[in-house]
Amino acid sequence: MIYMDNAATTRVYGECSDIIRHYNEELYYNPSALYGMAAKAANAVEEAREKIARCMGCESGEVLFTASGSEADNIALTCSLRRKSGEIVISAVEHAAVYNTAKELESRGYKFVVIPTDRHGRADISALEKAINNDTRLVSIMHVSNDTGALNDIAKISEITRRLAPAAIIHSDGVQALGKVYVDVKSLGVDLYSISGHKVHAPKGVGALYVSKKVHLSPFVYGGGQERGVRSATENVAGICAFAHAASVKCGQLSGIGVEIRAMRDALARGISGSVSDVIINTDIDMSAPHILSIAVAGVRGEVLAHCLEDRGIIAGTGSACSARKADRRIASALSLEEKYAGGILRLSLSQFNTLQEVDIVAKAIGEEIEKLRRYIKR
Amino acid sequence: MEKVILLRYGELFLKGRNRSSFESALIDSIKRALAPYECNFSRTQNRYYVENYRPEQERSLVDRLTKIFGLCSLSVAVKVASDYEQMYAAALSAVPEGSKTFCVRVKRADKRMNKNSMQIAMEAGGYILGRRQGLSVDLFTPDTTVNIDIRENGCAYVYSGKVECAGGMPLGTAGGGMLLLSGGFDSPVAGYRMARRGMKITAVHYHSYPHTGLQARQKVLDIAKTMTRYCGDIRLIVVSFTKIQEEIHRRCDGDFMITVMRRVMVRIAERLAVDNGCGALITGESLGQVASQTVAGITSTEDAVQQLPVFRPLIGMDKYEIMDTAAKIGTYDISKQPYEDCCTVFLPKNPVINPKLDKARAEEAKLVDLDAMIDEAIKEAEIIEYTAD
Repeated sequence: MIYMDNAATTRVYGECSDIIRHYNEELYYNPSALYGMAAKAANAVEEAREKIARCMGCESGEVLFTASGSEADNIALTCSLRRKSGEIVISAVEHAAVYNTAKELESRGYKFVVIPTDRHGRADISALEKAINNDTRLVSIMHVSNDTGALNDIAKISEITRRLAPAAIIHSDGVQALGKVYVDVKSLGVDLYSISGHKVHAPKGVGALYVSKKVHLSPFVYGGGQERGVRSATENVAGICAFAHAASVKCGQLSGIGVEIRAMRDALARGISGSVSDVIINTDIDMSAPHILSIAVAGVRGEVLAHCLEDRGIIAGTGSACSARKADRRIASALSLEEKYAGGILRLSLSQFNTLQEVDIVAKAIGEEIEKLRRYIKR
Repeated sequence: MEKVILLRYGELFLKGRNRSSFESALIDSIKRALAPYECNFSRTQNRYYVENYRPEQERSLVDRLTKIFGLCSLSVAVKVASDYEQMYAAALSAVPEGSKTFCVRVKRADKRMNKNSMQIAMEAGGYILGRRQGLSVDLFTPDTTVNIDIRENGCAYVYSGKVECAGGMPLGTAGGGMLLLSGGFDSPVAGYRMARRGMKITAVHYHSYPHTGLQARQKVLDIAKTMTRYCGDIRLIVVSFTKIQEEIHRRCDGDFMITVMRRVMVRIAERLAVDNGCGALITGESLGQVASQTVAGITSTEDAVQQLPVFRPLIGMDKYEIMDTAAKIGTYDISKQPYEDCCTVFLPKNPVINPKLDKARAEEAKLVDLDAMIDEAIKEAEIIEYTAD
């Protein structure tokens, strides 16, 4: 089986499985308890916090562990706003965790401003500049698009936001960026930055939020006061430690394995555009994270193509796995895809476990399956 | 005071000499529904009783019993000795708070009582009026009707209110029907309506993987499982329609694709119906709802059926009526999920609305290997058995 849906989730590193077993079966104590073994578990969480902080270029006191990237996004948007009204600015291709949270805030009285993107899914900076004003309370633009891999210039977005709305909170969803592109939250100039474990070969059920010291968050989960009182709950020690390990490994590989993944992705793009007619490469190869390739195929439904590939042992995605169940054409519309391409988005996302040989097999299979499926175009 | 659930059946009253076989099917359904509970089931003449159940299970029991075809209503009653004081006290308890008017109705099967029904009703009414402020008697449109049912075994059942049950005829009393089941709103409702007339449902679903997704298939599986709440055990036969559909696309006129598809679907369904002991096909067609459900469209489909009748219980229903029933039987929330069925995958831009029968036959005849393809589809069909919980 060739797995190319790593933007949906990744295979957990073997070392992470060992770590999880250790903290589930040996050092399984509640970090808040008073006995010595519990203190060891608490220390493990703090060491993990330091590792995650190093991956994001911040201090460990600025890292808040969460149960997922989506939860980190929810906390960022719902717990940071001090005023009851104003404008929330996001891009048209934000992940559902940001998009739907912003919509919820709209129902609570905030104005919801959506910035268009270019055809690669990158936020339109000039539109952003026009949209931000004194009423802007929060700007949330993803660092890397989960749909196309588009890399946004977050530093520039922060600079514009600070200039035009000094009091606004700046959040970026970095779930697809961590371990794929260099992340330094201080250089990016953001106040809040979300990351997730299972996108970097850690298990599902753990994420984190960078929270700048100048931002005060109100509680998201009330309880025993863990995670600085923002997200009370007994810490997921095993998940947190596995996440920290995986993130450290991934962030240390950017210039090594990261380059190899990019080379495979680029070869895949060349292979597909060389063998199939009427296919748009949505991903901007030069300005994107290295692991995602999004294509739009004329006259073929992405879901059907994905099923055909699955029959050949190739797993690919059709977009955000979190929203694959919705008949949602938001992304196709944001990318300004013509009608004949709109239903035909296929997302291939790679990891270090893929090989160049697999890339050749996949490119060839995609060409053959598209040719076969085009025989069944509606007529 | 012991609580008892009184069950009433409807149309079975109208049955003549074969009434006992209908009753026995109904009793089977009731006993199956009661199997997971600790309780006793008994019958006297025209009534059934569920007794000795755990009070905390009453709500769940009632919910389950209301879904049994053949029962028309039930009441939760209090069982007391047929002693006047006890019956009147129970009658008082049966009037809910907030009720402003009431009446008492008495049935006295036990003729040994020294008062007649009218006297007992008046005394019970007086008892209630004397103990509850603000109530008055209204014999025509009361808020609450209190029933006192005095049986010959020295017991009386006292209750107010009735819970409507599923009605219809007991499952299995009208033979078997093969339902053409899709993921839409209509066909589950069609199956429900025929099961309500006593048909045991077997279902066939056509999928076109990879042109349709696994979620579309799962949706139908979930619908079949949900249908068991009312329809009892269901055998679902999942047939891969991919090869046939691709062949239709390759060989037939695009405008006639749906007509030919539907003809082939009923051919397969009829074969499966005969193999599975079903005496009819059931479809969710509703006149004029989509292009293929015109009189000419239905004629073209039915023409492909060799011998069995095709039942279309929704033919005269509006979409909203159908969706209301879907909500009632629990399939609405599953059907509303957006996954495509195989009917829509190759949907032509301009499907023919009034297909000519000759042309439909001619288009289908272009499928030279049709019999072999049908044989293969039936041979490779997957059978899933769903048991009512």
